[in-house]
Amino acid sequence: MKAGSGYILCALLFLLCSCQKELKNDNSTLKSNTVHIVFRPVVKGQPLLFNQPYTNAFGEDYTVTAFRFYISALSLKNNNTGFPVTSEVKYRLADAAVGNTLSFAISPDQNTFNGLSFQLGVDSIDNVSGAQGDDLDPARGMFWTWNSGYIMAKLEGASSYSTVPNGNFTYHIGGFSGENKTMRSISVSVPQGRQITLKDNRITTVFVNADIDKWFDGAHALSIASNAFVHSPGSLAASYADNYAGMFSIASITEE
Amino acid sequence: MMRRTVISILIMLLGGFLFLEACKKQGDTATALIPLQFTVPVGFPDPVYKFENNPLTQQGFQLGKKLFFDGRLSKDGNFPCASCHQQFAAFATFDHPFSHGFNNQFTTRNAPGLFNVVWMKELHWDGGINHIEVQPLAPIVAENEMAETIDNVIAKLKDDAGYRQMFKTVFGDEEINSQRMLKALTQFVAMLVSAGSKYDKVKRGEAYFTEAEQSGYEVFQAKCTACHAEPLFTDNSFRNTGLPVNEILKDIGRMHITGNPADSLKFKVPSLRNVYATFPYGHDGRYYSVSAVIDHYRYAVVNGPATDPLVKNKIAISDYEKQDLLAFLQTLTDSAFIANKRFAQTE
Ligand code: HEC
Ligand code: HEC
Repeated sequence: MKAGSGYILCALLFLLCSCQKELKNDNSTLKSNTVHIVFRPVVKGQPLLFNQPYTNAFGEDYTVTAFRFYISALSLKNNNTGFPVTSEVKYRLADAAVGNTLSFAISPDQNTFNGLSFQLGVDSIDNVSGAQGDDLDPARGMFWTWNSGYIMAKLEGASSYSTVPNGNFTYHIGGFSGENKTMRSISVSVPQGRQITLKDNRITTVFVNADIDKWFDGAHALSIASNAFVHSPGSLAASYADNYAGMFSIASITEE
Repeated sequence: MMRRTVISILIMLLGGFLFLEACKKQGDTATALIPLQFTVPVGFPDPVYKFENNPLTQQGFQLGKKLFFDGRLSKDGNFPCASCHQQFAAFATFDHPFSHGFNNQFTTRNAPGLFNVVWMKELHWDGGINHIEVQPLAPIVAENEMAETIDNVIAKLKDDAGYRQMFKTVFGDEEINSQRMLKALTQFVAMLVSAGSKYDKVKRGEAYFTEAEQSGYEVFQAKCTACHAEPLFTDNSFRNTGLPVNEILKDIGRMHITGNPADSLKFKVPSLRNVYATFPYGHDGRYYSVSAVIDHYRYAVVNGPATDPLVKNKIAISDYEKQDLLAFLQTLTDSAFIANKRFAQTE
């Protein structure tokens, strides 16, 4: 009898929870060892200012008006122990114009790490799966309607070297199949072989720079004069992807 | 002990289930969803689109239909999907090579009929659309078609209490977003199945071909089915059939999507079902009759590097064979589909 009522109690508790639909599963705030990862759009290490004039490696002037990219599978790792990984959210659109889209909170199951990794872009399967929601909502302006597929990353601005009549440059980089793939797996390490140990009740913040200047000069030399306009998948888009894959670095780590 | 644990788990699961059901009911004062069956016609292959994550319901279909006929999906209210896709033309644009769009502009391709879309792996003449659900985005945002933004369309729908109610019924709450709109539109477009032509009845043993139709069918099987494969009358491939490039539009077809010169001037093989209702013909509507298309294969194929080997040497069709072929192609008209009230605007 006693045992029986135990079951009923159990069942009742279970039911109560199951009806609480909006139960927050953002348990990052509950755990004490939270890591914040904050992406910082920069140009040559300095925080990006929209419409501020910059100069790239080819001596070309440019200003930036939009900078956005998809992030997924953000995880912390320890290259020494090989311990993977705590994965965060599927697909978030990081937008330089919307501050809170640039930070992510992770609660790892282990406390030491020396690097982080993530995917930049949208996996091929999610490019061919029909109507999507949340940050993959095509209303976000990161979906090609005439040639189905996501724009993995977007950089727009102006330059006197642009060959387009209005002097703008627009790099909409996408493509998800074969050699035209533009999703990139990114890994960045904590500088100087250091490692980070999380402490209880402390919030550790890792600042990751995303350096726009690398779009022009990285694995490939891509001057504005030679291309001001990339709006479709192809080998050129893949070259930009190689370049943006190299734009990230861990800039600093703080504890508070 | 084992047994007791099992029983207790069972009790909990059962209880949980009942309670969840109860939760559902609380929020759902509207009518219950009536499931809708999608029937694959006898002899048809499995559809490409399987309604995964988009369960077909009577109410979902009705919502999709309302959207399909609603001008508010376009910028000035004048260009619903149905303005270019007219039922009496098997949902093609009747009698126009190009369709009217926003601000006195025209589409740059001939609007195809809409039927048996769930069997398409890629949509549009160049196959640029890889999934039926995302297809409506293309006309909605195209400047020369509906010329609207996704955000504006969603805002207009949200403003309408009727839509809010319908979305709530179909999706469980009043939230209206692009994903839900697209899924609902898909329920309507997906249900446009055409499999009731005389040809189908003959195949099912419910009717007989005339002599001319029968010999036309034989010519067709010998010379056309390599691309216009039964029962869909397309193999969904992209082919260059030797139509010289349209000098004004310079439409390179599939190559526009793949960037591959081997795909130059390739277009999706159109279904020939309802072909007598969908004139004019070809990706740019350059042919005004089926007879003219057949004459293209007989006399006018222009060879380029990517021209299909099946048509490179033209297709030999005698005048007699052509008459029979035309008779056969007329058996592909599905009058019941074209007149089906279920797909007509409700008012
Ligand atoms: C202004 C005219 C116009 C409007 C409005 C329009 N369409 Fe179309 N539709 C076309 C044309 C033209 C094509 C061919 C496009 C191409 O191949 O590039 C097409 C193609 C399609 C196809 C692909 C068929 C195939 O065989 O590949 C579907 C499905 C479709 N439209 C559905 C819709 C829906 C749903 C809407 C409303 C959201 C809509 N259309 C609005 C003109 C229009
Ligand atoms: C090599 C593949 C191939 C063969 C063989 C072929 N077709 Fe086609 N057919 C196509 C393609 C591709 C198109 C679209 C061409 C375009 O618009 O560029 C087409 C278009 C058509 C159209 C116009 C349909 C529309 O809705 O616009 C008709 C009618 C047609 N074909 C009839 C036939 C007949 C009859 C035969 C046999 C004598 C035949 N075809 C053989 C590939 C083929």
